[in-house]
Amino acid sequence: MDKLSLRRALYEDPRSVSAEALQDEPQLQQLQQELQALDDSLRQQLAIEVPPQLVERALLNQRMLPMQKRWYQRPLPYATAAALLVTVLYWQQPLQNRPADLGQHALSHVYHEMAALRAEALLSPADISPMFSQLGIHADFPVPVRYARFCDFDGVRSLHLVLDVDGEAVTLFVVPDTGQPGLIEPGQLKPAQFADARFFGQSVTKLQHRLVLVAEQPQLLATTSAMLEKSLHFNI
Amino acid sequence: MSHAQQRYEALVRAYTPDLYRYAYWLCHSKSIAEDLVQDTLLRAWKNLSQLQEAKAAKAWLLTILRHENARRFERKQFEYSDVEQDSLEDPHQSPEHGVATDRLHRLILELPQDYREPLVMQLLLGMTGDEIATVLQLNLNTVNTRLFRGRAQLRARLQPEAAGEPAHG
Repeated sequence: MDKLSLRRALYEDPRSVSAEALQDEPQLQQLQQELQALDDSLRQQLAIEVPPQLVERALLNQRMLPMQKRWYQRPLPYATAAALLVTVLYWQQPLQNRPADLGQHALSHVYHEMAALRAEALLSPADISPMFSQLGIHADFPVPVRYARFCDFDGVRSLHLVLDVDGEAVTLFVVPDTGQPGLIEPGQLKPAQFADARFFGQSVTKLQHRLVLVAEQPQLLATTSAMLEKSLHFNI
Repeated sequence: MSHAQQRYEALVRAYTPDLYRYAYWLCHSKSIAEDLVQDTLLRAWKNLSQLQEAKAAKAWLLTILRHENARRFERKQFEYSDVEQDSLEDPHQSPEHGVATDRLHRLILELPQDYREPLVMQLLLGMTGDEIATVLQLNLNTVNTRLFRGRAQLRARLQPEAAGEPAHG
């Protein structure tokens, strides 16, 4: 192997070239040492820390898979689920005529921040209250809150929360009415429902705010909606 | 426990850390990497019968993960921008925060993906040139060229005086 080929082989994999092959090439020996040291440093950097419980979560997801598929077979919430599905179908037609709608945006937002659904740390009322205060709302949730931060919702600075309702993640967007045309039309009062293959959602208007809920099980929307009626007090 | 379940658990326990690390260097985000790993493993479970030999498991899983990553970009582009969080401390600060502080870490992230991917496979996953070529669907010469250029770029940026040294590849 000529010198150029050896140099190339060293850059491709420094370990692939034997000491004998470099016996009369002190410069290439030096290069091999440098590249091996570089590889060692790279290996250390590449081996980033793996989140704890990642393996267990993966196994749990797989074990829960059949249950998730059969949510509609659970005995209790037939009436709620059926009613919501009918309403979704009823509202689907006008929504489909719009290039982008609130439901689609809410679902995209949830997919964009899927990690929020799995947030494990629970936030205290002291964490949450100041955020709601900025929107003129007093909040007193009877359920744990997994995630809360201000987000961009169709250009409107909104509050994005993930509530823990009966052990399941329910996303809540609190979107102030800016009076500007957008996904949420000013003064829009009608409730709206939406869904895709995985999530169900609904939105309602409360004074100057639109509340958008997204959950994997439709019955959670009704449960959470009823809970919000009691736990959110709107000052504006 | 069924035989399939046993096989799946063995697969998850053996490869999840490598999949997560590979996913991170593919997408530059720890949260997206975690989602990619979960999606990859669920798809692997659904298609477990396709995996015939244990020695093919790593390449098979990496191929699924790369497809899952590609699917991310097929989804409708979601317009999103960060908004001001005022003086409130974000209770769930981004896991990326504070990661990219090391110079070498940053240089790896700045490396073109065509060069970074085979290097990650070789150094992190211990894969041979042929195995990398199979997963990336490239020929061996192209893989070797990318390994050459990846290392050369990193070395040049770490040692500017050596920047002009490799003149081949």
